[in-house]
Formats: sequence, structure tokens, C-alpha cells
Amino acid sequence: MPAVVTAIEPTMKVRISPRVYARAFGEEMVLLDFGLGEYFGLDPIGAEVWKRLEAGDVLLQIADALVERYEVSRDAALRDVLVLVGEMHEHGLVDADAR
Amino acid sequence: MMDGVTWLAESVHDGELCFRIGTRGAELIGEWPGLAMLVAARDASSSRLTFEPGVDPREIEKIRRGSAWLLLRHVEGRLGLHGSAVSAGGRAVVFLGRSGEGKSTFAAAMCRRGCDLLADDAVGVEERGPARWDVVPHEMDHWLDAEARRALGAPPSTLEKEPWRSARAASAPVPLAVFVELAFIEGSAPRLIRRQGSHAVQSLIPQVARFVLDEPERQRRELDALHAVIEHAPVYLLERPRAFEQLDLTVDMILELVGVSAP
Repeated sequence: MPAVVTAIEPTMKVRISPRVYARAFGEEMVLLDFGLGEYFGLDPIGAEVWKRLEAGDVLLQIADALVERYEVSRDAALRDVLVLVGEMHEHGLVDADAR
Repeated sequence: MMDGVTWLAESVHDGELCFRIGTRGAELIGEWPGLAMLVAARDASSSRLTFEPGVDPREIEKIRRGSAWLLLRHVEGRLGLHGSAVSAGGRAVVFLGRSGEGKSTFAAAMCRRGCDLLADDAVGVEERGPARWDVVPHEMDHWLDAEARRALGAPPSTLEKEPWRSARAASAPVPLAVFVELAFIEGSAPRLIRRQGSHAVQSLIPQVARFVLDEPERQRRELDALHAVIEHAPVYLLERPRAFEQLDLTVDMILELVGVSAP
């Protein structure tokens, strides 16, 4: 039985939930959760994180990509990615496996 | 009381259940407790709307032309929004917003300034071809409370809200120009704010009328349709104080937005 994930960590494997449909609106993104019938909005940075999750990037890679693109330290970028992906996980938008 | 219905969603106002949606086998059920029941086939092949004995005919007309019409549009895969709409110089302006934000009042105020009413409560939006979306004319009455009636010069009413036949009602579909979400805000002058990206779609999503709640593919098509319609028509937020004396000023702002000279 898989371990119950209570917090997102940099080494975890995170996958998009199959019940979520993502649609870009300009640089932003709207996520539709079929299961709940709920919608979630992502700003441009959140949208970039989502696209990289879709591409299979691990969280450390995503943080590195944000460091390259924005003026932000690696620690801050990783912290923001963990917070955002943690919120996505709480809402059931992504699944995470403990390693 | 209905047996065998699985209720999926409900709307409660002031602690009172006003509407709920459910399924019974292949049927979709909409119930306005004490007033009406809508039963529709999921494939849109049939529907029946029935009313309880003694329901006020004005209430019957409001449900028939408003919520029930929107629900059936959703079953047919067409876009319907809770809101009001007018034609301003041949361009449709759709007003969105939560209950109590003045959608009906604003549409009536626009009509007093030369616009034609398309919808008071239920807005039908149709894709007519590449880059062409129309709002279909559907309702002919403004439903206004006593305060709004007084401010707009309508005859006084005895009910909480009562219909007032619009002096100007559109008779043909009108190309969609703009969405305006209405919100009251105290302590500042009226202002129009352009909403873009996910903020624009979030202005529309709460207003979309839905009857089928358990078909992912339908939800996906709906989001795609919202994307397409927002690409076509900009979305604005109009924040203004709750003051009837500023109504004409805010109407001027919307007329200017759609390029119509204020009469």
C-alpha cells in the first residue's frame, strides 16, 4: 500500500491527476477538476509550474527553471514551488508518491 | 417529494432551499420546492416542466423563461449564463455578477437610455461562426425590487420583485461585444477594470447555468467554449457604489465602452 503523503518534498514524484483538465488563458491557466466540478486559476508562474509538471519535471528541476527565468534565489524558488504544489495536492489536482 | 432521486447540488437563500438538481436513472431533475419541477432526458430528446397548483403566473413565466430555459440549454450543449443583457447600438453587453449586484437594475437603466433588452435573468450566447457570437433576445420584462422601480420611474409594486414590461426589447440576435461583471464597492468612484486570463474566465464560470453535473466531457467543452467566447469579447469589472444617483454616470461609462454616444 503506498505511503500517505502529508507534505510535498523536493524529491517526490508528482503527477497530474487524471481528473483534471487544464486550459491556457493567455499566460495564465484554468484547471477544471471533473470530480468536484471546481475550477482553479493559476497565474503565469503557476501556469509554468503546471506545464513542467505535465512534462514530467521533478520539483527541483522546476525550481531551477524558475531561477533561470526570474530574479529569485534557488531556495526561494523551491520554497514557492513546494507551497504551490502542496496546495495543488491538498485540492487533489496532483498525486504525489513518497520515495 | 420524489423517490429515487440522487440530489447533486442545491441553492439555499436565507436558510431556505430554493433550488436543487439531481438525477433519477437517465433523467435529470431540477426542483424549485413548492413551485416547479423540470424533468429532462440526458440526451435532450424530451423534457417536461410542471408547476404546483396555485403558483403565481408571473412566477411561472419567470421560471419558464429564466432558470428552466437555461437548464435546458445546458442539456442541449449550448452556453447559458445567469445575467442580464442589452443591445447598445446593435452590440450586446452582458452583465454578470452575484445575486443582488444589480444586474436587472443596470439593464433597465441602460434601456431607459435607449438600449434594447435582450435578457433580464437568463442570457443565451450562440456561436454563429468564426469570430461571431450572438446574444439571443429572450426576455421582455425587467424584474425589479421596490427601490429600483422607484429610482427608474416604474409603477410601484407590492411583491418583493415584480416584472415591468420593457419599453424596448430586442427582436433579433445581436453580436456579443463585451461582458461586464457588476460589483458594489463603497467609498470610491465608479471604475472599470479589464479582467484578463484566468480572472476573465472566473467572472464567467460562476454564472454558467449547468444541469448536467456528472459528464466530464461536457465540462471540458464548456471550458473550451468559455475560452473561445472570452477570446472574442473582453471582460470588465465595473465597481461602483450602491447609489441610484450614480446610475446614469455608470451607464455613460458602459455606453462609452461600446462606442455608443450617450443620448
